[in-house]
Amino acid sequence: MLLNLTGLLTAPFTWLNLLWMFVEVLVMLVIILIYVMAALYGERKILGHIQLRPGPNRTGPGGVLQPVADVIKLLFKEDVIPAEADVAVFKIAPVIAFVPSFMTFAVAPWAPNVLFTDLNVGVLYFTAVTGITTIGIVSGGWSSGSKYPLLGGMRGAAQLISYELPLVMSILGVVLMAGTANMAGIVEAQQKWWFFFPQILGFVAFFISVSAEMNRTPFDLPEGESEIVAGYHTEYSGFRMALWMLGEYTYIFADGLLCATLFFGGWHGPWLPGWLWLLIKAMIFVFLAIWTRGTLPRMRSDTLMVFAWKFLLPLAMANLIITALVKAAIAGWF
Amino acid sequence: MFRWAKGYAYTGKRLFEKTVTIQYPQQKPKIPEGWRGRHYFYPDRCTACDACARVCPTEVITVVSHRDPETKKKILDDYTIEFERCILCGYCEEACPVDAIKMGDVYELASYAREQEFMTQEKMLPPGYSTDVVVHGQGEAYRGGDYRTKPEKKVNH
Repeated sequence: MLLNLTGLLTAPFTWLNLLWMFVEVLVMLVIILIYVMAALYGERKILGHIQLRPGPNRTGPGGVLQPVADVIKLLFKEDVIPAEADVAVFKIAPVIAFVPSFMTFAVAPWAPNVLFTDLNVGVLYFTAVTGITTIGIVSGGWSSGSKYPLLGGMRGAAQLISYELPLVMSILGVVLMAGTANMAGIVEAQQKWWFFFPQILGFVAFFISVSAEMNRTPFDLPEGESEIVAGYHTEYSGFRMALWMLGEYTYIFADGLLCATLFFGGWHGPWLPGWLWLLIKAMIFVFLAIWTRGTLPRMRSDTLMVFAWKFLLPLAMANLIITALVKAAIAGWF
Repeated sequence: MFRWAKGYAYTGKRLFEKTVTIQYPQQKPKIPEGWRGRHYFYPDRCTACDACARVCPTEVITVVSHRDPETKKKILDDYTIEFERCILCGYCEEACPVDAIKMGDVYELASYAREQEFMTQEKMLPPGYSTDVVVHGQGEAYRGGDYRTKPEKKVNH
């Protein structure tokens, strides 16, 4: 992690550099897998305690081996492909959904100069890449050749596209304040204070729409257990199912990183090293997502759309306009 | 508009409260008074009046007795319950004038075979009682009947 990651991309191509790139990506993947295991365990434990239950406590001390057992179970399961399925699309859909979630980590600024790609349109890259997941969800729902996945996939498409707009609009306020779309640049612009305070309206719009982008509880219509079985991944089993879950949990982490970077000063913080601060802030976001799941019920489909178009989007746009006006009025505010 | 905050406060508070789960096989639940579990039978109290057997809706109770030829009093010879068909209604307990049959606190009622559900006096002894009080009399009915080996025969259709 403490290598000069960016240097590799700009350095002239050698086989050794390529090997190093693979090693770094592998390290990141392992970190994410460990995080996903921890998040699975943490989610079940936290939800359990919210419901006055202890949560998993049989596998290993305090149940810490529960996610390991779950993963092993998933890997040993038969990989069922429905007879009606469009096999090629069915197989590739979870990959399409997961890979973008992993790609977002390319622009995560862990510390000054510790990031994979110092892209000057990092925020744009992040939102553009996450948009690809929608295709994975829709194709997963469609290719299953079954009615509930189709419903889930369609819901997913409608929801993710609707909430992409307020998400990007709320991010624009931050980009406007920082004067750059570079992730590291946005963090550096928060040297004095976090963007959370001046961008509180933007943060509200951002947090809600990012929760919708994650397909989690108040907005888990694409999965909606009590309505459409399991939505777009109803027909999936075994390792492909694990891939869907992996994508979902990786997105919580990625969106946590985005949230910490845009609104909570990224790596800035006293005493501890920068990457640890970013990790702590991202984990607080993950905890918030789990807490939300334990608190709020699922929204209705029509209120979901009304909320996105009639409340969140105007809120995000108002925030953007106010930010622009203030920035124009007080030149050199930052 | 801020109802969601109330919800978050509620769940956040629950997060730090003590869980109510009992780790069942290791930890046993506290059985409240008046629980209708499996019966306890007090052979020393029973007067063999047959009230429980008559009131039983599923007719699973068998009271075997004989009369003392001198005092003309009934003497208990045996007492069994075909527990597999018992519906735990508690009528027997209510009907008993001397509190010889009581609904107990035993709730783990599963067994591996039907024969194990055939409750003899030994199986229904209340805690603290020794098997000395169990009566296996030598009355006429007791000697003649084969109810202990073939409980199915008692079913009335």
